[in-house]
Formats: sequence, structure tokens, C-alpha cells
Amino acid sequence: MTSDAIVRPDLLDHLLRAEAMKATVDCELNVRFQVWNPGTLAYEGLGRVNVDLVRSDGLRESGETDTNGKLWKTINTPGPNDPFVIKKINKLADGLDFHFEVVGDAVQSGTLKSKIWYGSTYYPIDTWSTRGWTGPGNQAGNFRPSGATFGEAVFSVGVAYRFDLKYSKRPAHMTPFPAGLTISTLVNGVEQFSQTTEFGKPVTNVIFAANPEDDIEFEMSLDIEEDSSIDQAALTVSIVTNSAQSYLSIGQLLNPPIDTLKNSKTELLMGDAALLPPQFYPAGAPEGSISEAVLEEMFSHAAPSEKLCAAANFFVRLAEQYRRLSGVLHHIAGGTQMRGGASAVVWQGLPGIQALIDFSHAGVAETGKSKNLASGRYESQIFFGPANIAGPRLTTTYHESAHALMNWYYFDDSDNTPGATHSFHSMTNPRFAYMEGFAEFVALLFMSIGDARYFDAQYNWRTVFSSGGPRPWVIVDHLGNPKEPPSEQAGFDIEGAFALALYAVWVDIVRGAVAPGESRHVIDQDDGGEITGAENAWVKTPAIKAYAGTYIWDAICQAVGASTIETTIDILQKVTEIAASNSRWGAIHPTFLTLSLKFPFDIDALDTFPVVPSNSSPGDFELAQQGRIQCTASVNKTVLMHAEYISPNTTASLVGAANSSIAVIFSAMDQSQLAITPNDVGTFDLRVDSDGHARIVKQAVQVT
Amino acid sequence: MSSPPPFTGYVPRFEMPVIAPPPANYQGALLDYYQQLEIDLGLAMSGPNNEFVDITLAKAANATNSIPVDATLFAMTGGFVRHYPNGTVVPSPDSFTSPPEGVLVLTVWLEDIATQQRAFPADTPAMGYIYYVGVDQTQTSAILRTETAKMSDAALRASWKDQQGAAPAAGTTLDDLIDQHNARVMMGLGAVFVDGGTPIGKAAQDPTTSVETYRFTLRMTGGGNPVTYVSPVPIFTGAPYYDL
Repeated sequence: MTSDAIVRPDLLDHLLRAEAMKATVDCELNVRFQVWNPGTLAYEGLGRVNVDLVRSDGLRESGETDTNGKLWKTINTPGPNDPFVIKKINKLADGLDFHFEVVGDAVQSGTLKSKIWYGSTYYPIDTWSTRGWTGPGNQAGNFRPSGATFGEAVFSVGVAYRFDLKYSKRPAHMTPFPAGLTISTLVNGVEQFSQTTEFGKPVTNVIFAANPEDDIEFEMSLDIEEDSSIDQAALTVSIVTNSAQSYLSIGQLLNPPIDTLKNSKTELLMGDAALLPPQFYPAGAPEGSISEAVLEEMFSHAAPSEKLCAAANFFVRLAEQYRRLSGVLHHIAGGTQMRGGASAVVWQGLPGIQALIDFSHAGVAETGKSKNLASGRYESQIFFGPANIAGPRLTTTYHESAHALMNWYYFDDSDNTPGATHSFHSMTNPRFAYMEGFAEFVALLFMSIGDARYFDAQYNWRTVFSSGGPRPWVIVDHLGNPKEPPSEQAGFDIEGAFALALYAVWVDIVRGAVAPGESRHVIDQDDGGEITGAENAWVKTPAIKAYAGTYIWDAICQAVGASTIETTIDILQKVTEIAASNSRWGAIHPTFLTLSLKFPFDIDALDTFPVVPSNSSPGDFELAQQGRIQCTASVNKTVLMHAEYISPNTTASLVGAANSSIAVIFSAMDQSQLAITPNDVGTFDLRVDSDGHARIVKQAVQVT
Repeated sequence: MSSPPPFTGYVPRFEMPVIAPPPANYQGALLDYYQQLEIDLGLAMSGPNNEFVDITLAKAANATNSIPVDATLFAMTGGFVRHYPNGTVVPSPDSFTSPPEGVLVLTVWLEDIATQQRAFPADTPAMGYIYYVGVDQTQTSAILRTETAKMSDAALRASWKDQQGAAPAAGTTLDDLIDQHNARVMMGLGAVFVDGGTPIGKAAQDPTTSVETYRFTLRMTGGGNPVTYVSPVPIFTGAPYYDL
């Protein structure tokens, strides 16, 4: 097969292909209702409210969580004083009708200083906020009188979505779009523009408004500069609506093979031997074992952006292996030897590790999930508790991202929230401990990776450990009440035990290096030595370690290296920005997170803008809506463009680029300058909103 | 009568399941060819995960010619074909029951699978089983008989014996053998091997419309797990580029 051969031109215009290019899939949305809490000055989940979805046919999909928890989800926000419960609609009815009513029961007051008052008016998207409303007596805030029932409020809604664009002459060779490309999105006739930023990075959280009974359609047109290397007739553009699992393409619904793995098991039950789907068991292997070939199969399908997911998957499976090694958890969680008085084989790093995790800043990883797991589409947010409002803590981000990642990839944690609070020591149940332990492990990993290049002294695990010294630990239940040390193997019920077991595995085996003087952390059943059992040989094979290095270590190092500030929460590139709607949406609003969208994608044409003759003299070019001035040069030049508004209240941007690789992106109506060489095609794009006019007023060409 | 077994000199081939491409000697523009058919082709995603495709064919309302709608179904690849009549359980991921119109099942030939795995993009699953749900059984039987008739005498006699419990008696004609095996194919008891692109049936007519409309649903399995449904949409859209 030659890479560029088009072997069946007779099928290019086949009717079935043409129709498939416009294939659509149902839209599923995720909804969250939030309310402005004047007591905490924060948006918080709207507690215990019945939310009815009113379809266009008048039928309602009602209000309470079903027994399976699939239509509705309940997530308890952390913090002992916050009674809010966030209820989410996981799946809308078909028909893409977004007519909602909020028919509220009373919000439990809890410790909220105020309650909520709903009007019964239809509020367009920009006036949803109740921030400025007053209660009886003109009391400021968002109030409703005690005991009053809610009125009925009907909301229009918005949708946040993200695109990850790739293009290819052939589907097999997808290439990320360059930076600076403008995406025009037409939603119900309203056109929006957004731009790709960094090379290959997705456009995130493009939010638009929709009104009740609107059908939401996306029409995407892409302006691709003339590029002789692109065979436009054969061009395929893939649009990935979120980078986790959902692949919606123009005319294509691509399901990476890895989806098969993910979707084949809806949840992990501790003690359930059938962790892995049957097809991933090597023939004749003991149930639950993982072969090198299996891992290779897993990772071979992981795109670079999915490596961290692959890492999560790896650890999920790794943990399962070690879950079976009860000795590890037995020791770590304080088994008989601990109870007998601190044995040398107990991993004493526990307190130090524990100190790294600041649970006072806990949050909630709100991971929405399609009702049907097989569709495999997820979108998530990290919702930080009030203590994090001033600035999300990095540890929290890591922790909650891990939840999101876990949920995305494999583990359905939606039904497993035994209490609003939990801790490293919480003795809950195996499934919950596993879920939280994994997230804590990831936080540990990011915060204390044992490599001086990637963490500072503050979070150096060994530093903390040596300064704090080993301390006895106290087992507490999920309410924080002390419990007796667990019996043997009670580590199954303790999230910290799982976290530490995973960390031990990481340090000893995956990272593959123990610092001088440092003992191995993973110990065999009772003899205090390292794991030597034949059953664990697979984790020590060079191939497995190579996988770990490539797909886990490198990915994590890269992520950590790229994200060193606390406010960076897209560390995993899979977490929608915290409360992305906060800046746009009102105090009471449903936040829609797309799970999958109905995209009648089509590309009408790959247009180029009007071209101004090369080497044109400085002059004025008035462009009513948008336009492009394109210039070429016979010698090196620097081209400077300015733009100005013609009509007030216009938003516009001027972007200069050369040969599709971004040179300069300026903010609205700034100037743009770029250098072009003889083979460059420099372009200046002026984009103006639909109501405004602007023009490029000056073009200076300077030979350089 | 003789026919080479499918295993010798076999050439994998891919075709769309409906609407034949222009004949080899067609000289005009390919787009014109398809457009002059004036077929109103509908395609809708269905199934629990949008992995099924409902396909309808009708003459375009504003058609300017009288070229009839050809609802012939084609084997997308080579492989064995069976028909499962109304009420029978179709071997499939969800073991669905055949509707009254019946289901054609194409078991993709291994060499085609291997070829797809080599030629398809990494994220396009190779087809394993292809289900044409909703066929005109009378016409399908007639179409399949053409293929059944190409089978070797030995195979037909073996089928006869499987069905009757004894070898064909004296006086049994070749047509008898063909008819019986074809009946077995139509009952899901036997299969006939076809090359990719071979006509294997005809979509059922939709009785609910006054306009002559044909309708069938295409399902297929594929990917690393042969018992998982996959969407054929990527295959439709990428088909011209698959170097099979």
C-alpha cells in the first residue's frame, strides 16, 4: 500500500459516503445547577432540587434520582457545613429540546446564611444571575422567604464544548491543526469564531446560548490556507469533542479500540475477580493476570494525549494486582505486625506522605458520564469547595483530576460516595477506598515524585518524612471518629493504604530506582523482603518497565513540568476549567457539559480569502465583516498591519501568520506584524463580529 | 459445473453495501453518475450506541428521469452469506431476533479481515460480521441462487446429505441440489461464499410509505473484539482511501 494512493476514486462521490459525511448522533448533555451562595460568596451546587426536563412534546422527565443513579447523580460537596447536593441530569431526551423547568422543593437550609428565591420568569442566558436580586425587605442577596416554595423558572441553556482538530489527506495520517486557525461555529444561525491556540491544542469551552425549544446544530467551516501539500479533495477533518474518549469526526464516529477495553467493564468491584474483560486475559492465564502482550495492546492504541489515561489504566490494573497481594496492604494498613508494636517491615513513610495531602482543601471531581457507558463520552469539571475559591490547590487539582481521569477511563465512581467527608485514614469499604486511594496516589505522585527535577523541597517526600518522622497513625471512620487499627487485610477498606501501596509500587518497580539507603517499600507477605514471587514477575520485566517509563513516567514528568502553578488545572488536559461558566453565566444556571453532540458536520468548501496582490503598497483595505490580506514577498520583509474599529462596540481581532504556523496573535484590534520570507505567504486576518465593522487601515511593508 | 474454492487465488475486495459504483467502462464524471441515479438516500444512526445505520433508498421527489431505484445489496467483502428468516435468532453480539423481512449475515472472509487491518486506518475497525437487516426474501433467494449455483457439485451433494441424511438418490438433478442448498442458505442452515461486491440480496420495500422506498439496517461487528458492534460510518467515509 502506498501512503498516498487513492485506490477507489469511484467511491469518492458514492451516495452512501456523501450521506455518511453528514451522519449525526444523538446529543447527550450533562447539567448542573448552581446557585450563588451569598454566605460563602461562591457558586455552589443547588441543593435538593427537583429538576424536570420538559420536552417539546410536553412530557417531563422527572425529578429524582432513579434507583440506578443513571439519570440523576448526586454528589455531596465536601465540607461539613455545606448541605448542598448537586443533582445532575445525565441524559436529555432525544429531540434536542432544551426546555427546562426548575420546580424546586425547599432547599435545606443547613448553615447557609440565605436561601434561594426563584422567579417565574423566563430569563435569557445573560440575565440568569440572581446575584442582584433582593428578597423581602429589599435585603440584598439571593433570598427567598423561609418556608416559601419555589416558583417555576424556565432557563435557556448554554453548551460548552471543545474541539480538537486534526486534518489529513487520508484518515490514517491525522495531523493536528496548526495554531491560529479560526473555527467558525454556527449555532442556530449565530456565528462564533474561535481560534486554535497552540499547535495541536484543542479549542476549549466554546460556550453559546440556546433558547428553549431551539434545535442546536453545529455547522463548522474551516478556513484552511492554500497549502499545496493538502489534497483538498481528499481532505478529512476530524473533530474530537473532548480529548478523553469521544471522537466525533466529520462524517465519522471513531471509536478507538481502547474504548473496547474501557467499555467492556462498567465498574470495578473489589473482590470481583473479573477485573479485566475476558478478551484481555491471555489464554490460559489465571483470571485477573495481565500479560505483557495485553499491556502492549493497551498502550499501542493510546494516542499521546491519552497516555495519562493509559497510565491510569495501568495503575488501576497494577493496583488490582497488588490488591491481591494482601501482604502489602496488610503491612501498610497496620496489620498484625503494626498492632503488635511497629514492626520494621511496616512502611514508615506513611506519615510523611500523608503530610503532603491537604484535605482541608478538598474538592469534588464532578465527572459526568453518559448513561450508556458504551458511548464512552465523558466530560468533567473539578468543583472546588469554598476553601479553594481563592485559588485551587494543586494537590486538590491532582487528586480530583485523578478521579476524573479514573472515571473517564475505567472506573465508575458515580455511585460510591458514602459520605461527604473522608480522609486518608478513612475506613470505608474496599471500593471506596480503592477509588479514593487511587486519587490520593496520583496526588502523591505529582507532588512528590522522587526526582529532584520535578519537585521542590517543600514537597520532597523524603524531606517531609525525615522531618516529621514516623508516627503512629490512627484509623478514623468517614466521620473522622477514631477506630481501632484494622484487622488483617483491612487495608482493603482504607484509602490511604491503597494510595501508599500504589506509591510503593511506583517507587520500587515502576520508577525502578530506590535512593541510596532507602529500603524497598514493597515487601513480600511476611518475610520483609522484596517481592520475589513468580506471580509478580510480570511487573519486573524490562518490557513492562519500558512501558511504564514511556507511558507513565514521561507523561507525568511532562505534565508536571508543564504545570507548576497552582491555578493551572488543566494538568491532565482533560479537565474542563473550573466552573467555566462562572464568568459567563448567572448565579443560577445549569452548566451543560457535552457528552456527545449532534453534529451535522459538513464542509462546504475550503475557502481562501480574497488575496491582495503581493508586495502591495501600504494602503487601506476596508472589510465589512471579515477578511484576509495576504502578502507574499520576493525578498525578506516585515509587514505591519493595524486595524481599527469603524463601528463602536465591535469585537475583532487581527491575526498575522506565515505559512500556517503562527507568527503573532494579537488581541482585539491590536496591531499585527510578521516577517515573511520569499517563500512565505503572510496573512492578516481581520475578524469582526456580526454587528460591527472594522477595517485594516494601514499596511507597512518593510524590507528587512 | 465447477467453481474454484474461495481459498485459491482469492482477491479481497471492498464494496459499498448498496448502490453499485459505475461500470468499468463508464466514461463520464463519477459524480454525475451518482447524481443521475436521482436516489434519495437516507442514512440515520440507530442502535444503543449509534452503531447501526438505517439506510433508505427512494427515488428523489424531483427526479427528472425514470431510472428505477436499485436496492440490490452487495457483499461489502468476501465471505460466507446466510439468511436468517423471521423469528430466528441471529448470531450477533445481542443475539437479536430476525424481523419478518429476514437478515442477511456476511461472515467476512479472513483474508479480507487481514487486508482491512492492513489497509484501514488504525482507528477504523476491520469488519467481522456484516448484517443486512430487512431484505426482500423472494428476490434475495433468487439472487443468492445465482451464487449457490456456482458451488461445486461435491459441496451441494454434501449439503443435500446434511439435510436429508442420505446422499442424493438417482434422478436428483443439479437444480434440485442447488435449490435445496439455497433453501438452506435462506434458512440459515447453510452458507454460500461470495466475493466482495457480489449481489447478495435486495433491501425490503418499506410498506409504510406510498413512495417506493427500500429500507434496511446495516450492522457490523469488528475491531479487536469480533463480538462488538462497530459503526460502519468511518468505513463509508473512508472507503475511497482504503487500499484493499
